[in-house]
Amino acid sequence: MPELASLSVERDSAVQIVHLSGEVDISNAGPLEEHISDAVPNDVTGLVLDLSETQYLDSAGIRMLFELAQRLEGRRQSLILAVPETALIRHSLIVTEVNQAMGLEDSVDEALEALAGSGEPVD
Amino acid sequence: MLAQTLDYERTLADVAQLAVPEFADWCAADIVQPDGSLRQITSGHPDPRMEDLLMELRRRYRQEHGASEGAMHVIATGESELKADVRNAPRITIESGEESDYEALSPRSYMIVPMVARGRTIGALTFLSTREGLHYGPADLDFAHHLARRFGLAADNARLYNEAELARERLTFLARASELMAASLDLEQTLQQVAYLLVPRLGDWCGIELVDDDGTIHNAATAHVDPEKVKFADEMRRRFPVDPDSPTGVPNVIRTGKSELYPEITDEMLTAGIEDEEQLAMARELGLSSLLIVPLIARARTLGALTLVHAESGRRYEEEDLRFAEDLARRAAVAVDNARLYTREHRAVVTLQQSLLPRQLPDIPGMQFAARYLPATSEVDVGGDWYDAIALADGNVGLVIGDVAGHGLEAAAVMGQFRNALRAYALDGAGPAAAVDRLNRLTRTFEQNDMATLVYGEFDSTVNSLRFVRAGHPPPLVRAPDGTVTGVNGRGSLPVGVAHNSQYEADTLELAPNTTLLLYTDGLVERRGETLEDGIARLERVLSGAPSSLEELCDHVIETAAPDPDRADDIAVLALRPVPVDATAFRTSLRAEPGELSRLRRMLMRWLRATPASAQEIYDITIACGEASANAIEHAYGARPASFEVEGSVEGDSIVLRVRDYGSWRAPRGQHRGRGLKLIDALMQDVRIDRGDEGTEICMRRQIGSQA
Repeated sequence: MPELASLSVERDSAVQIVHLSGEVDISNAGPLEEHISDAVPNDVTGLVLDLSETQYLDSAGIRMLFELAQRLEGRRQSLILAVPETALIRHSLIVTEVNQAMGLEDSVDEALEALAGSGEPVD
Repeated sequence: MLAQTLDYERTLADVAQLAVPEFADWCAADIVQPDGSLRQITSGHPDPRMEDLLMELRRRYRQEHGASEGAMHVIATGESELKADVRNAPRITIESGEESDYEALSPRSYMIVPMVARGRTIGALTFLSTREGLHYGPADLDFAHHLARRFGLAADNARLYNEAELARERLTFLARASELMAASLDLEQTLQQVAYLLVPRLGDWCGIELVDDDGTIHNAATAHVDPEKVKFADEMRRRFPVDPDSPTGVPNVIRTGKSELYPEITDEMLTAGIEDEEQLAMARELGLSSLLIVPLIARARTLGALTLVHAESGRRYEEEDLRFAEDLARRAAVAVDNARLYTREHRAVVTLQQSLLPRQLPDIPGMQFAARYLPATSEVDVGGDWYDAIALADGNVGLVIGDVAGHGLEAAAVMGQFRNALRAYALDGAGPAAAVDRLNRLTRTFEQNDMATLVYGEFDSTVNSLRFVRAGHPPPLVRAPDGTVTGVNGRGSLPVGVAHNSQYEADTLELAPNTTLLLYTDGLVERRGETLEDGIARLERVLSGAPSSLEELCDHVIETAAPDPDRADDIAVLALRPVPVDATAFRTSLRAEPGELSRLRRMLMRWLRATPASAQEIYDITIACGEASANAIEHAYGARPASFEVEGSVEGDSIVLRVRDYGSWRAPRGQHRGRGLKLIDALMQDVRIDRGDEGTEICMRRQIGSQA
């Protein structure tokens, strides 16, 4: 099967940024969660997951976000999503209350700011 | 098969009936037909005599007023017409015998509004009041406009759907006929097969006559719904042989190369045409009611004629049937011509070559395909060209045109290897660049230095984009709907099998709906004493002026660009055209596997884009459908190979989706599936889940056009 989604990773000082592009559904959500989780080293304060190039994200993808947030919380790292105001996926994130469980910002820059404002990492 | 589909008829009837009796006492929809004529559908009047009178008055009205007023005027100008009171001033001559009926009908007021869809006036709606006190005013006219807008779109959608269905059915039929004709070495047996294929779908009776070298005409095949009638016709033919100088009929069609169409055969026509009493009696017994004769023409020579007859069924042939029969006859003619041209040995290589080519092109909503393969004339030159079209798991389609170096049986066999390997890589989801790269590396394991030029592309219909690799092959051509042709070079790379470290990279090409992509092999553009560039430039000109039907386009391109019957090389052609999808209905059946979800999404989104739904609505509906489908897949868990079905329709202002499975219902497990249903509930309206013994159906609706 061709790959539905792809990841690219970059680091902005103490924050890891993962860009997730493509589509997430039940066929790839599990492996993606592993890959994203593996991409976050221990020495960062948090993860900005950039969904601005994510074209499709269903309930399996939403579950992936919740579980990812939970995992990172266990490592005392926060998760902030970057989802543009105009993104089609935004509405379904809000009706499933994703924004109650993790940060939801309009862009990577705003997500980075929000992370910086949340204080120093807890050792 | 040439009739309108029921859906179309029903939609039009619904339009007419919609307003009766609340808003009008009688209503007519006039729909502009492709030939410019009007097709009228009325709501019907409870009294058949009144209906007859109304129809007669309409006919006379048109005779008297032409296009200066009435529905024809409304259609021509796009301006509506309102007559508040016509009680004392009928706008038509009422003849003396009709006065009492007209009195009883008592037309009082009417209005006519244009039906507009997709910026085009497709017809008009006429509302008639015969009720005391119901005189139309400006407010009624507004409402009539509203109705006409809504149902203009519905009728136009139904028409598009109808056309697409008919076209698809015909293509399938033509493909089957072509397959039959290509399959056999025995000409007369092949023609007999074709005749059987045509009866009873296209006629109650079919005959194929061929001209011999000495100019005599002989019957090569006959088929009839009733085999007894074949004997009868044979007997008639034996006793009254065809007169080769006859001014009409088969001899005339063969002589002039022009078709003949007799929509209705009357007894007067038989009497006038046949002198011999006995022959006339026999002809009457055949019970002909409608007839068409089309020539079998290949390379500008008429080889024979194909006759189709309606008898017992009482059906009538129309212009459209004639065009279809001509299309079919063109293919039959090529088969006849090939059989005459080639030796048996030659046919053996051709048969091998053809057996390695796809028997059928994929059937994908919103895409048309056509392909041709013409072998070289001499057997030493045959073989090695191929084309392929592959339905990929992600909903895309893979397109291949290729040419193996060398000729003959060996090249044909090597072609088979290339074709299958590329298919496998494509189905594996490698993508164009990696698939060609793998094919190149594979050639190193071949025992000889086999090489091939090719173009491999993957077309994504959701974004109208083609990703393609061109490996040493002539450039694909793209024809825009306005006829403009451009060659697409991309960056281009070495043929496969030349160097093990060749780099292959894909280029992107936008292919909007109704543009045509033509892939071909060099046999189509190479001529002695001419550069390849000149050949391609010539093909561009030919393609620009080719007919719009994809099948005819392929024929035209081959006949015009490579008219020489003595071909020094094979010719393969593959054409793709994305077309607007049917906007009224969506239906598909899928395997109950998670991997099918992405293919479903792509098909569904493409359909939804043809409806008025906004981008956000399309996304939300797709998500909801995905959730319901994931549910269906979960129900199938543990069962034998299972499938589920998804149906979508536009109903008024809403999209209605049904997802049906045949598994056993399982309560949503944990938060996760619960979240799926929650999403459905949040994004859709009127969500209904029916759990039966047979399976589960989730039905849901989403209103579109108003941002939810």
